[in-house]
Amino acid sequence: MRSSISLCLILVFLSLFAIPSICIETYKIEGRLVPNLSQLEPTTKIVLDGGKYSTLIRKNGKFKRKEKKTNDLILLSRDNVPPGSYLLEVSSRKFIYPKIRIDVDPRGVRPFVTITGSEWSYNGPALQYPLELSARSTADYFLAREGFSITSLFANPYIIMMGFSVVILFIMPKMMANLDQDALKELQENQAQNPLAEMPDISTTLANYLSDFLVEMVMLPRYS
Amino acid sequence: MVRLRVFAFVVSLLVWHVEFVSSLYANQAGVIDWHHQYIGTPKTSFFHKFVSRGAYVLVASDRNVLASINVRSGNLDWRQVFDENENILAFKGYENVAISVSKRDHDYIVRSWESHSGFMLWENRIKDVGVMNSNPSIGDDDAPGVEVVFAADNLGVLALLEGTTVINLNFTDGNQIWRSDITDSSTVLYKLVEFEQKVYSVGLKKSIRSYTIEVNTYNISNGILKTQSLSSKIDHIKDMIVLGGTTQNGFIIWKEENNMRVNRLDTTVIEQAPLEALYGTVIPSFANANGKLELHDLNLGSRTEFLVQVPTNEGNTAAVFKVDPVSGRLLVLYDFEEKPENSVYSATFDKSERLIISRSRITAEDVAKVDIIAPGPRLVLGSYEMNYSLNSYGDLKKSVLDVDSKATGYRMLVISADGSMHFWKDHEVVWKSEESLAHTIEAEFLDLPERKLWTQEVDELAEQPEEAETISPLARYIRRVRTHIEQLKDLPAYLIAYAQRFITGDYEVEPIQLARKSKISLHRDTFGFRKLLIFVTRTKLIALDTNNKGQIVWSRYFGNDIFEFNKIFVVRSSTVKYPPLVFLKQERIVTRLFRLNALTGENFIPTENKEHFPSELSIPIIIKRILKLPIEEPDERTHIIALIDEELKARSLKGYHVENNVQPFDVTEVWSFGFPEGESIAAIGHRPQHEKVASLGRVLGDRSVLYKYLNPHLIAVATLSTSTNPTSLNVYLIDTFKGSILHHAIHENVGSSQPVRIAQIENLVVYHFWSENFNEKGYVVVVYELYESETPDQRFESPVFTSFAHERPYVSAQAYMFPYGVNAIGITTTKHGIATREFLFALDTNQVFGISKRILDPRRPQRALTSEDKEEMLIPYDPAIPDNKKWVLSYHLSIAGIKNIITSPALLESTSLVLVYGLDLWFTREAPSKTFDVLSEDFSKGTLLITIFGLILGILITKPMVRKKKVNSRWY
Repeated sequence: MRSSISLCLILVFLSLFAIPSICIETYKIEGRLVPNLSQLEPTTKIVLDGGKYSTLIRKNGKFKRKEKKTNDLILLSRDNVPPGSYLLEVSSRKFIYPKIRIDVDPRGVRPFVTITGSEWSYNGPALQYPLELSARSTADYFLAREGFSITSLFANPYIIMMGFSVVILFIMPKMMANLDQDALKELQENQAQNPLAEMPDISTTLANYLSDFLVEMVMLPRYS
Repeated sequence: MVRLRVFAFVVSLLVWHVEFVSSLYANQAGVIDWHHQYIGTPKTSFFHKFVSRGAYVLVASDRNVLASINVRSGNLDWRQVFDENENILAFKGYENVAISVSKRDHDYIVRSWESHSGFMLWENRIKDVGVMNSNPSIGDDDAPGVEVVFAADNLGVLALLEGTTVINLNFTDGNQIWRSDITDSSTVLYKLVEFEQKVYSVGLKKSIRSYTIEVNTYNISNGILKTQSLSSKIDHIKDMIVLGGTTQNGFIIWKEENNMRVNRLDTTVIEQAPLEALYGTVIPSFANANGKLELHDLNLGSRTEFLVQVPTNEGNTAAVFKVDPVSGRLLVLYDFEEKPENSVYSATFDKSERLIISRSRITAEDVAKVDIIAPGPRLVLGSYEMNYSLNSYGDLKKSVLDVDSKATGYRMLVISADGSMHFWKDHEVVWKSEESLAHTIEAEFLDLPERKLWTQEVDELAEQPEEAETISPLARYIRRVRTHIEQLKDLPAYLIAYAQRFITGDYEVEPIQLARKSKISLHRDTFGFRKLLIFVTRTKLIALDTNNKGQIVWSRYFGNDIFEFNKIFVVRSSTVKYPPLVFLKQERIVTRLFRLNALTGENFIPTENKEHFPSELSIPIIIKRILKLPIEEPDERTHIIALIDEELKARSLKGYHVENNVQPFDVTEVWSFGFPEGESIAAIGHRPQHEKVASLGRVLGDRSVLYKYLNPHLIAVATLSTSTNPTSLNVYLIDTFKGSILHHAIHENVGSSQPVRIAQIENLVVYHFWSENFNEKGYVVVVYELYESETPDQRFESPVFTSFAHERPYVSAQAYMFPYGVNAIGITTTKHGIATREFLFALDTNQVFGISKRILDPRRPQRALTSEDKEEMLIPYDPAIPDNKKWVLSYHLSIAGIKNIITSPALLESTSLVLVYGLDLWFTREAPSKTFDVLSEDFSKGTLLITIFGLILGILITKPMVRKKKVNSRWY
């Protein structure tokens, strides 16, 4: 808790610097990136409007010396930004940061959430300033390799089919055997009544048909 | 027609059925791809020893890179790449901080870096430098007087900028303490020295015929200025050096007429030593001197030793001088002997503050000699001979010496004429880095010859019938048998390798290669993944092998600083018997053309036709354009190169027609195309010269076909009109044959500071730009597909395509928001063009992003999918291309400074070879539709074999049992 209070103090301190200089109408955008310094790469860049203005992240060495246990503070700072409305991006290979819309005018620097593809005239929810940008997630470039697992094996339709046929093959006869005499009789009667049972057997039909066909084939030359 | 349709449908089914996400598993990273990191040629470099981690070399390079290199391995510890238009002018380390000064446009930027991590600590942009001064340059160096000095008591960083401004910045946060600009326009400052709370800037003031030395003195805390002139006459800035400072007095040493003069800063006393005394008497080797003395600062911090070098009748020599800090007199410490070769010197001091100097020179074609000398006690500490190839690297240019504090040894970073870095320790080459590749101008893929065609057999196969008649049948038979015996030698090795390959299932390795690993032979592999990459840099040609992690096959330095290469062509690819050839063009005042054997790098002299075009040729005119014509010359099967010395202007496009059949040919302008006022060309798309189009149309869901508009003369040109505010982007599709516009699109409110990129293939055009209108702000990528007609199954009336017909394509287009800025666009090419295309974007995050054609498809419907759309396998339209990290082909690698992406087909239809170059090199194989023609990596051949053997075994065991049982059942 102590560290967070001190952090707020620093933010206040920084905001003093954000007061625009009078002679040239330029502003400074300041903030902090959230995953701490040990995880960020030194080449992480802050880009305004696709490269119109850009700067590297900055490690605040002075602060580190005073308080040893707090996280390193990183400022994203950019001098000389004239008033306007900008898209701020954090160019990092390790983390995914949200894109931020920044409005800079004499009233100050105001950041907003933005969504790609939405209209620019629409302001997203406002964010605090100086910015405190936290990474949405780490960038994962690789596919996860699926290891062997019993559940995935059982989810396989072939395995399910096989399992089903095994069940039919082995368990059905036993079930039949376990049935008592009356029930078996009933079942056989049912089967007799079943119209399907009266259907001609496909294999016999096919065999008959084929034999007829063959006979015809054999006899054909005689007619010709 | 029906057959075509069916074929096209089957092909598209085959290819489109595969998933469009092609990404890597973690263990595949770095297996098929390789990455070379470069930094460029060091401008300034110094050793830095960290207490816990050992020594590193910190480097600022001419490619605007700051880097820290591990001296043991040569690996980069960290690297910061600046923009191309931001030149690093000074780089200096102090304790655990390094300060860099760079110039961008008219501003100077001073940055502070943490030496061990590469994090920026602060930056300060200094504006309006040199505004008061008209910037007269005295020296030959482009940037006069940029210098960084650290105040001894940690108060500040003093920097001299542009030779006019001295600033003092706070060491910890970079805030400016004071700044002082020189208003006198005839003075240029060169050096900064700090001593005892005072800062001195030493400059030269122009008087009538020569220069006088001027010293400005500042108070370190408030910068109050005092100017003082020394009575002196100097011809050139190189005749003066300034030494000392920090812990002792600063001294100015200069050469005036026949004297060497020394002034202690803050005084007006001038000590003098006549030059005649040096020659012959004090320094024996100077007796033969026949040129000007050159004073060299050895960059030893506050030490006062320096080097004087002079050319002699038989080479050159040098001597080490010292200014005695107490008396301010000149002393001669050591005389290097006269040597015929050019020598490079560097100095350092060891733990006991003893000065050590190295002299390195090339004594033979492949030997470099290093002498390590302690000039004080006149000791030779070491004399080493190093392996060095003069033919590949050229002369030595610069060296930086260091003493290893733990083990007593001497190590040295050497920079050669081609820009490469070599790291030598005592007598061994620890590592070297081919930094000339950071200056790649162009690169080409070169197919390697097939092994079969490269042996004796070829001699027989390529024989002309007339030739064959002259040899008796017996001789031919004997030759045949001999060839077979020759081939028999490889058989045992082949069998072993075959078995090995059969078991492992690794077909990428050529069987014969497996067997003899030691010998590097340049032959194609089974799948055609192995090719040569030929790079042209300013003065050098380098061939890398795509296999073996991009190992250098050969390199050749064309040691001439006047010329710079600017073009390369592969004029003959490997065919039967003939080696592949490349063709190079260099130019400055005259144009020089080279023809080389691409497998060895040697000049190519045709064996049969002696009167042929020479392998080296100089033309005393400046060639403006050079083109490879798609015509082959019959004898040697080389492509013909056309040279055009007409000035072609950039503001308009022009079409030319070649007339006459006699050399030199005339070109006449056929058409010219002027863009409207205020428009300038931002990007031009080029259709690759050899592209394979698998199908002429696109099959829709209802089996009808949209026919592709495949005009070979189509180019896409993007222009930015700066006259309108805000800037608008115009995209023209132009038929280059007659110069007519086939399509014109305008995008308003486009960013002018962000680049426009365009790529073109088949009937596709893709371009990328920054858009900022009221609706959106972000990158946009637009894709065009050109068809002969909007309605399916309809073609142009004429069966033959001609540019003279007045037919225009139907352009189907769609725009998408793109998540990144782009430095280059490439498109995969496969052998037959059947695999789905993938667009490769070089992102501004130094990564390569691959997007399948299925995503960048103008036919993605903006409504609910109908069953026909589903059959065509379309994906519903989404305004944004997702920022899917799985599509990043280069995963977490940082491929800095990408300028171009080139692709080449492999023998497998599924696979395309991709080379990304610029500052770094990255090579990979990309299968845009997945490797549908190779068994997947997961396929385990071993398991399959074991299962089969298991089954056979099972049958063998159970067969007698079953038989026995059967017999038994009959018997009983």
